[in-house]
Amino acid sequence: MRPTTITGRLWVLTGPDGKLYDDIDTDMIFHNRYLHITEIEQMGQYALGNLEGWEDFAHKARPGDIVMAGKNFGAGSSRQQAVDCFRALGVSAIVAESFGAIYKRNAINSGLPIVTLPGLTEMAGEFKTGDTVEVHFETGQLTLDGKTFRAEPFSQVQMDIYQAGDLFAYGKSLE
Amino acid sequence: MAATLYDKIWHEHVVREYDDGSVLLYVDRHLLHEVTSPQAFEGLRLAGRRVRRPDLVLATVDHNVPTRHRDSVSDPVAAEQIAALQRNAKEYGIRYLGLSHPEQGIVHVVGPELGFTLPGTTIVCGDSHTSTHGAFGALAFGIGTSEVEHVLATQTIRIRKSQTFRVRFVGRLPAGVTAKDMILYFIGLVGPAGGTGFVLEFCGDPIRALSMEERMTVCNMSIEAGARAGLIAPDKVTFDYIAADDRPFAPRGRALHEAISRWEKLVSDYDAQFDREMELNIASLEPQVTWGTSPGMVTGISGKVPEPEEVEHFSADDVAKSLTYARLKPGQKMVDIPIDVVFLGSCTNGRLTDLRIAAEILKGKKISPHVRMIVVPGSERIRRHAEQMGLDKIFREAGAEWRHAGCSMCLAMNEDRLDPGQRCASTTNRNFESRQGHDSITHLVSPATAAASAIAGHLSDPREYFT
Repeated sequence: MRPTTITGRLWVLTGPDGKLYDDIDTDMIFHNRYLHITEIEQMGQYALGNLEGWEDFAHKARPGDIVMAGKNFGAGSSRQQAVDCFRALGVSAIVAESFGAIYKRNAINSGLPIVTLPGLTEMAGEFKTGDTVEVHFETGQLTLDGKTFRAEPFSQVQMDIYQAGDLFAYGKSLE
Repeated sequence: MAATLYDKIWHEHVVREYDDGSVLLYVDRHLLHEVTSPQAFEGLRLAGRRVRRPDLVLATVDHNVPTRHRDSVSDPVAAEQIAALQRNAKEYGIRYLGLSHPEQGIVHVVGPELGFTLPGTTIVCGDSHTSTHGAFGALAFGIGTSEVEHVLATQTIRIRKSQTFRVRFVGRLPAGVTAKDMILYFIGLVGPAGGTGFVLEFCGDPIRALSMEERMTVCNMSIEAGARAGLIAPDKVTFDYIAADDRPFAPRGRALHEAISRWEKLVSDYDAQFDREMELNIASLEPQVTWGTSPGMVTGISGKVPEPEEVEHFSADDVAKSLTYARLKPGQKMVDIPIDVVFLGSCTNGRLTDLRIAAEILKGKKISPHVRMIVVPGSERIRRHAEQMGLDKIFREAGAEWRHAGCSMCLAMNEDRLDPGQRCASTTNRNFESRQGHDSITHLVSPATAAASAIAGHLSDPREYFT
């Protein structure tokens, strides 16, 4: 069983203005010029490499870290690398107010935990980089310094795929 | 019960329904390109699976192919990715349009050209601009690599139904204003997430009046409004396109007649309910041009760079950040913005109609000496047809470069890219930061606006050429 409650160090993706980044697109997460790469292990170094102020994210991130962003995280392209670069770094979850449609499916299928936290923008001030946050996938509860926040719980199929490892392992488990 | 076009296609493809409301949907057509497929084949190999229906898959190379010449790929990693698709296609018995194939081109251009894209079908591809094929009344959407593998193995995809959003255009499109301007205008109105959770259906007389190529431009950019897909009900324009010569995968003769009688039913019932509706009057629409780093940051060509506080769907901070990146100031007139490069091409605007309208403007003229212009046809077939019509000569004599087919400078994965700080009037679909090269600036425009701007050396109104 993979853990359904995780605790990790938070990276709050803020822009130069100090506010939570919205519409972080897949070009910012994993730039076109590295799309040739298909080895997952090689992808981590380019994570967020085209997001202003976060170019060095790959060097600072540690396995188990949690990433937080605003609305429409992962807008744009189909590229799996934009999900796999975080898996390569061992990022344990991405929390955002909302996700791009294809990105959401890619992440769920790859077993990368993504958590939707409605209204995150309004309460962004509660979170800062370096905080230790607990995320409970089954209930969607986020805990920080005793305060709790209500995110959307994993859907059943999201949990099933996550527990199996990824979509294919899940498919195999049904056979 | 009254059904939308989307409902009709959906119901015909449901294999199985799950308790959580999702369904297993049958996939009629699967398109592949070299960037999002290698990991999928690797996964298939590791799992010891075969491709379930290789006959329903079509593969082409487009994202990182060279466009100057066809004899070598200078970047070794790109060369390996292209070679990998060739190997995978051969191993699994998939049709492959390689670098030297006469029908090679951008995946969303060659699918329709070859008659692979048909009304009423479900089409997927590991590429967000798969929405293009919706112009035929096909339910077409982009998927991720994990799903490419799943579709290869099972010919199905597990998915939830989207909501429906009817976008009705009214009014007659003014001369010099095009399909690209219609869709940019729509994206500006609803914002980059305005279509999230929806499948769009475009309708109205101005849509009916568009050619198939122009309808593809409209559906292509549905995704830039966040929509899952875009649809246009098929009609005589669609059927005539499919019945044209040289569409080897399309039905012929009696099969075609029978197909058309089925396809004629692919319309939303008159009393069908949509979750959202919108009407856009385009009678006085201007050519549209983006000023920021999202396709929703758009205005008319006679407009000005906006103040950060006055842009709907974007916070003042986002706008300010975009303007800093694009080195623009509020109040600047769009037509005063000088450009360094013009790119004509892509799955949005790399078709014959697009090349033709640009060539009409450029005929007998020279592009500005300060501007470099690159013309990249969407497919090798388009390149041949354009050459038969003498368009290549017009472009060359005007001072533009005439290239081979590929995605090219739309996302700069090959060697066609902008230098840092360069500004481009581009007929593509995304103006994200550094999309066309590190620290480069993109203004999304129609092919007509691109051509007029190339001559002027700054963003320019093409309507003066249509009076």
